[in-house]
Amino acid sequence: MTDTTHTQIPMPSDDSGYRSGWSLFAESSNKFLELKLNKFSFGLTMFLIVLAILAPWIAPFPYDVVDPARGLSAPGWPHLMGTDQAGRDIFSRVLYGAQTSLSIGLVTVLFGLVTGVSLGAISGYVGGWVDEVIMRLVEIFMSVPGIVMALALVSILGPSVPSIILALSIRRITQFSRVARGSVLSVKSQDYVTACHALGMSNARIVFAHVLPNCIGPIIVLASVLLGNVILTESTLSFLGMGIQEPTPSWGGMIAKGNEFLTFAPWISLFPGGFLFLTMIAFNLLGDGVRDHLDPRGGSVV
Amino acid sequence: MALDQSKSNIPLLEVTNLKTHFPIRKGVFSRVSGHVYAVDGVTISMQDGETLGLVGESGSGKSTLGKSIMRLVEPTSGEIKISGTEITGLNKQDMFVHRRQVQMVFQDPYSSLNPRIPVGKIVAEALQIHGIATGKEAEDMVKDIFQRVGLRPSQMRNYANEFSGGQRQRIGIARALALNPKLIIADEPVSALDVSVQAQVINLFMDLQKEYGLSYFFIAHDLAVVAQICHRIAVMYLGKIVEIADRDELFKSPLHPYTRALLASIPIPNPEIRPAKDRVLQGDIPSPSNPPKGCRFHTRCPLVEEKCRIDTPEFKEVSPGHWAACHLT
Repeated sequence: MTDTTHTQIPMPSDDSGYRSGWSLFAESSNKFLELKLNKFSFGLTMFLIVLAILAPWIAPFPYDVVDPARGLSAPGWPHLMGTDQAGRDIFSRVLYGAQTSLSIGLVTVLFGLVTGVSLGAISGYVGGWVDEVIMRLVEIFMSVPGIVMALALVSILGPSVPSIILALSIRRITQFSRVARGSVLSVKSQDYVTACHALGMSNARIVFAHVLPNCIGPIIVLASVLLGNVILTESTLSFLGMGIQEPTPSWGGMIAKGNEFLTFAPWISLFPGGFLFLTMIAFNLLGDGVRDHLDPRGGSVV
Repeated sequence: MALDQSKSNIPLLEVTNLKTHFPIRKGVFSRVSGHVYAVDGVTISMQDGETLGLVGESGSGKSTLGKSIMRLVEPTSGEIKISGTEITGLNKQDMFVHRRQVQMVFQDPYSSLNPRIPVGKIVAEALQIHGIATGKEAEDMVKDIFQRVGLRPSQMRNYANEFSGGQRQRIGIARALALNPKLIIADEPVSALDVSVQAQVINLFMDLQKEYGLSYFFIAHDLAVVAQICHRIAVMYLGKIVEIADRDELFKSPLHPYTRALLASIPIPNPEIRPAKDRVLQGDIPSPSNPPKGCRFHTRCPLVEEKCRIDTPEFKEVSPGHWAACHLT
């Protein structure tokens, strides 16, 4: 069927059968990791995710124990990254913050991607009044500033993780649907899609086997860019008091809170900011790498 | 539905007064403000095993006519009969069965193959969706088809970008052949290729015709290519057929001034001979959304007379098998 998206290794063998399943996947991933840059971005991504998962075991302190006597101490021992104004250990909070920030980022982007790409693909492929209706709806949502929309939703639903994810997703849905629609429009006019129609192929098969696989490039890039974007937007929500609630840490919230102390205790913002920076670098590079890897036309070597 | 009666009498393809108009929409409410008369009353027929060439400038409606016959664009009115079966009214299921009889080869070998699927699977998919063969069986059939079109079976696993233009066109032909069609609509299949490769692909078309008794509806703008492969040639101008004749007849005694102008445009490998000035076409093809009244060619015709501007010439049989639409014949 269509398990061929990551199988572009031309083997110099005369056997014309197509292998499938694990052997192909393993071979494909090995090939992916041959590039140094891919190795780096994949390694960094995995490192961050493992840190988040292992936070309860690695963190030297609980993230919520207040100790005003140790407030605003500079990085050193035992507080590797210093403490904040309430004397909480920044290092531990960064590790626990990775859990919230990464999961909110990943779930939001994934939800936005699935919903947005479906809407955009329907809109672009079907065209006509369906396209008009979906795109006008998307424009209505886009005309409201994202943060206002998110604030309104969170204040209605209450500041819980699912409602924050929902609030942040709406903006991503519109972004993904526009990008997907554009790609689908350009792909559906290609002769190979016309050839599918000439063979009498069903629309579902054309969309899933021929149109969408050729649209993933820009979608993957958008996803990797939006991931960092979502984590930052969550910080804005936190800053306005509608994000993840204290004492639960999130990188965005920590950066925002540290603002007041930036001149004399920069470590409060600096360390979560540094991790956010690493995360964005890792996902952007990984996104680029995956896009190039999935493209049988070779792609760039950066 | 009419089934095969006596095979020889029923034309393989019979197009009667076919019109394909595209609406031009404007404004917020997509009001229809006009039409592009891409195909405007075409009547042609083809016999089994025949190659019919269709020539004309860009914008004359050749490709739209080809796509209308495939029902890749919906014709506005008229009839299309394939082996006696009217296909314009068929629903999706009936049309699906019917698609086995007519297949298409595209102009651009670069955009006509999905870059993300191994080329063998592109061909196998045609077999799969029509329930002809699946799995190992389909693979064997694709191997066979690949050999027929001059590709190595080991190339099945490669992706389209690993092939040259000519090889890609062979893959496109393999995909069309997979359903074992009677008629192949070839939409300028060689115009994107190098001249040396053109000859190879044309030879392939001719070999396949000999082997399988295929018929080709061969769209082209290069008369030299058409002369090589076609039995009969139709000349199209602004959505209408202006002349049809057997190949030799058309080259020897073209009747329509447009056909003569096209023939005069073939380069002669002798710098001493210069084409007559009045034979060279001036200007561009008029817009198909607002075709000239009377004879559509009158705006560019070197022999134009008063009645050409008023009356539409009738498409008539001037000599047996040689039809033309011109007041002056």
